Amino acid sequence: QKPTRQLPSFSRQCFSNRFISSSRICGARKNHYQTLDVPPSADKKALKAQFYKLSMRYHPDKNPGDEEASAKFIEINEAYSTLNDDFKRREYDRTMEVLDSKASPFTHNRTGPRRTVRPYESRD
Amino acid sequence: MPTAMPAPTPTAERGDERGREPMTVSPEPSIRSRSPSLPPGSHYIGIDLGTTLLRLCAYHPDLQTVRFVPNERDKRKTPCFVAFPDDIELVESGRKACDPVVGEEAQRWLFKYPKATVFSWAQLVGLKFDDERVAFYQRYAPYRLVKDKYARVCVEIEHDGRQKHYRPEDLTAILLTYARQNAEQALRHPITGSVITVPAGYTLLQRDATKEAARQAGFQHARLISNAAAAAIAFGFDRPAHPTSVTEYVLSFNLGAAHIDCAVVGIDEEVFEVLASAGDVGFGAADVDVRLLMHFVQDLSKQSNRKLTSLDLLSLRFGAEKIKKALSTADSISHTIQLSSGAYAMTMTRELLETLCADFFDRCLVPIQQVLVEAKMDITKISKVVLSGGGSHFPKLRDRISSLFPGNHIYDFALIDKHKAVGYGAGIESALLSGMRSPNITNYLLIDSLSFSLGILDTTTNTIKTLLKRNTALPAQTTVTLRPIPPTTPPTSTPPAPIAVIKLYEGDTTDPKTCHLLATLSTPIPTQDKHITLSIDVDVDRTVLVTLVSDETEKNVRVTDYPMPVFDVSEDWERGVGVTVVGAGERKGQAGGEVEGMEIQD
Repeated sequence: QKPTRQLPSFSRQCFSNRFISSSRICGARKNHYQTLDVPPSADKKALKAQFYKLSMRYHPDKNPGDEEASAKFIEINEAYSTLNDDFKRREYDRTMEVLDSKASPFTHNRTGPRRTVRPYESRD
Repeated sequence: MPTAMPAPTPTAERGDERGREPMTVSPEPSIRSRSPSLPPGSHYIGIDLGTTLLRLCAYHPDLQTVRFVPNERDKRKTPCFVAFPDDIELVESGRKACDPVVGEEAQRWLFKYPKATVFSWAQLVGLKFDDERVAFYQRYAPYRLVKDKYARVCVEIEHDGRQKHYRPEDLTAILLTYARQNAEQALRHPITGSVITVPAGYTLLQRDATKEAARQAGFQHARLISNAAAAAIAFGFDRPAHPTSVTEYVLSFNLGAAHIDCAVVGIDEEVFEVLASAGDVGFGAADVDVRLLMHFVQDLSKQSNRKLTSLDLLSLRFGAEKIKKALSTADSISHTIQLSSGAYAMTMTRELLETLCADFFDRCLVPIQQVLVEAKMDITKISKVVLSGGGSHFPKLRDRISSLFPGNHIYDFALIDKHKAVGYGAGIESALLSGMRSPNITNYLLIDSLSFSLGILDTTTNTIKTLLKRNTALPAQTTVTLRPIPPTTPPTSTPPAPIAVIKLYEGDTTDPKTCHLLATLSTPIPTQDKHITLSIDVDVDRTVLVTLVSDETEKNVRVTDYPMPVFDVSEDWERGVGVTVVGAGERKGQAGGEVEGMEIQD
């Protein structure tokens, strides 16, 4: 007699929960492209070069005892691992689309990824 | 038992997406130092802690490069032997009674005190007694292995007619103490940090046990890197000039006495990134010795029906090791081993050895395939295969590996020995952690990754939900929201505050039976429909911190700072870490007290 488990639905709520939780870790509403300081069109090679460059600056081994740098590296690491994986990157881009349009439905001056697909959920 | 920490000052107010009251969100759960390292100017030393040999490598300020540190016998390698000879013998040789002897001197006692001379215990570190590898080890060890009160394996030593129990990590600590004193004597300055190489397949528990051994040996900080990563670092410093803008991908394969390590490492101008690593602990070149030993035993029983004592088995085992090494270069060898019933002369050919070990080579290649898949790396993208460790001398193994990589040739170190590559890599990493800069060792960075996935038990399906995947670069953090599912049966009386139980596992499958349970955490939740945020934080030293935040009331209760079990799970665990350990049964007895399960959101 287990309680019926609510299946996760691929809804906007699901998306926004995910975003909220990840923004809590980062402590700031910064998207992964901004974290890595790359344009949304950056290819894998550019991402890697940027990740290595930022690692040299923020990795804990390069900044012994510096908590801020460490937290920053974790943020960079999360951003890179998301964007470096094709599947995760697509999903992330779509999530960002939804959130973006939700946060400011009438403005389009975002710095996030280019809109590729207009998600159904965003048409309120 | 303290269950709540002082509430952190709320920093931000945000409205919830679901239209709830705006709630306070705790600041980023940064709990403890994520960059645990020593103050600048501390001296580190690189330690190649193998199963059979120990090598020390340190930065030499005058030569401006790393050099192997000789031991008091002027040798660059120390056999991993610890002996506890009887007190009389010790006092006669000018030592304090109860002092263990280490290295070559200990090896000397092997046949006199077979029950008090321990060797090759590195594979036992951090294992449970009922592990099958322990039983296998016991078959060929002259001393007994026993179980301690935490069900871990211990070595029973007979010393002066009494039995003493040593945990494998205690033995490692004895060896590391010797190493530290040795290095301090040679380098003439105190050493407070160490870079120790361990098999890539070591679990967190085994790593913690090794770190604890280093702490006991007087190192304030121990960084553990895998053998394969260390060999890749050595490669990076040994390789011929390479266009700096191109990242080179190498496959580093290390075959030690009792482990196989394999890693795909991306080498940039300054960065070494471990993209994927895999390994087999408890299986390695020593298994070839065991095969040979079995062959000899069979041969002897055919020959003359001789009785073999346990000392004979030991002689045969070490004889087998010699023969194996000789057959790496020679096609056949004649050897005589002295046994209690007389000399045993035999001729061994390489062909026969390879027949005896046919499946051995197959198993060696498994991790190679695994890392290539996990690194999502095409074989053609691998520019070099770096072989290191004693076992990589097998001609057959080299053939098998080179046939896997068409067009890529196996890299042979130009300046360093294959045996020493791991130690050399550890030495370079130690120089970097010490903050040494020289024209020979430029600024570089090793980005290591997680060896096993970390996840929590999803009680609704009884499977493990992975939160941090293996091969995630370190340090890393992840956060997940959990929703407690209330019990189905309504409580008969007023229930006590419900408790959410979270089980943290380490392992690569979704089946909790095949993964290692790292911790059982529990937190009281004021009302059952509210959420708990769980975040797992792994630092560069692979110290895992779990933070539970129940965003229930206005002040967020940060339930715990949860260090990993240092290694006495039960004690450190229950004492003062701030959560209740469920399992003793006292919590479960309370009606309606526990929630039915946890639903993982996101």
